[in-house]
Amino acid sequence: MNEELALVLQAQQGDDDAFAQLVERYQTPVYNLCYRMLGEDEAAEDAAQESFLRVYRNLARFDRQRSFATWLLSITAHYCIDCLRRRKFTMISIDAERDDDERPMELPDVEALNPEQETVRHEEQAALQRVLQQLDATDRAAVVLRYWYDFSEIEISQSLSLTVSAVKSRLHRARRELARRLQAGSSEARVERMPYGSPVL
Amino acid sequence: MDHRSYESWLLEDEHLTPEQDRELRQHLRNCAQCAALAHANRTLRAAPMSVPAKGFTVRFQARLAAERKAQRIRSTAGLSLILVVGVSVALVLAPLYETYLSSTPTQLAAIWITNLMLAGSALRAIGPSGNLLAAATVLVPPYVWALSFALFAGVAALRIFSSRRFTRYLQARGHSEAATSGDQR
Repeated sequence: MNEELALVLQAQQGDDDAFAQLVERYQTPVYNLCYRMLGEDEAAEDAAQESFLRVYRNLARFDRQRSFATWLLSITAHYCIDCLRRRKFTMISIDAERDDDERPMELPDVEALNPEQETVRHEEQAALQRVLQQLDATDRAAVVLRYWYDFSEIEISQSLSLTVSAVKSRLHRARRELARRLQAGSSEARVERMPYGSPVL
Repeated sequence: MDHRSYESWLLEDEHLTPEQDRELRQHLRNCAQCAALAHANRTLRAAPMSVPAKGFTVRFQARLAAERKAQRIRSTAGLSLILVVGVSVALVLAPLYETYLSSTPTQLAAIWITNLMLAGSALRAIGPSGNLLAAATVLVPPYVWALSFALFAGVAALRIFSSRRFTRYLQARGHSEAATSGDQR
């Protein structure tokens, strides 16, 4: 029996320390999924905490044949999708307008070997996060599970309760959309950098 | 090869042979759409994991403890409400059942059996549908009825006892958890 499963079994028997160890172990993957889905630190922290609470409440239902990480991330993804749906109904649609102002500005690492390259990388990542927020909630979850967690299409389909072909088509659509928006964003940025010059030049 | 095949390579994340890789690179120089797709793939793969602020687990434990406390308060409030309503109803109905309350168990059993026999007679009077129950009241001897009631009473007592034990267990567990989280803090 591996260490993780042993911790899950102990947690199922009411050992809170074992569950705390699981939280410690998976806090980053769960938080990252929430952050990539919801786009804000505070909302991501809250969603990550709530996801762990849901996992704790449903520990008895965990199927030991499944991977704990997949199960945990599946619960997190569903919770984030629900949050986004609720947000859609309760908030004015300013998501499209929102940029990364709410997140502390990520300054380039001056000690990095190539600060210029580091700046470009930061800009690209900020653009990616912005563009990600414009995707449909389920498409976004599929992309995040694919690229940040290396989930296969089958694993994504199990996690998001979709068919494999639906996952495939959602991933294709999302990546085309991401590429298009990233390209549009980078052309706009190029024009912004030379506000008094002609884009043609 | 047409554009769609290259796009499919990019979308499917296919493992390419060195020859296919060269061909794709050639295509990317001339196709802005595929170049954008390749750039998006690269950006996605280079994206780092976002890390939560320090003390995430401690914050989770505090939240879990707060939720348990709220749940205990809700359960206590629910049980108190049921108890108050139950006692009130019992007090209101007590005068009606004074005879029963002051009777010995044997007298109670006799009263119940008489009531059942009356019910059987009433059902027999209503029609053929009541015949079965009426036959049951006549055919089943009184000690069987008394035993059945004793059995039901036993089950009810067991249920009350186990629910009380369970509530106590939850409370004890809650206290020990609160003590543990206090120690950790």
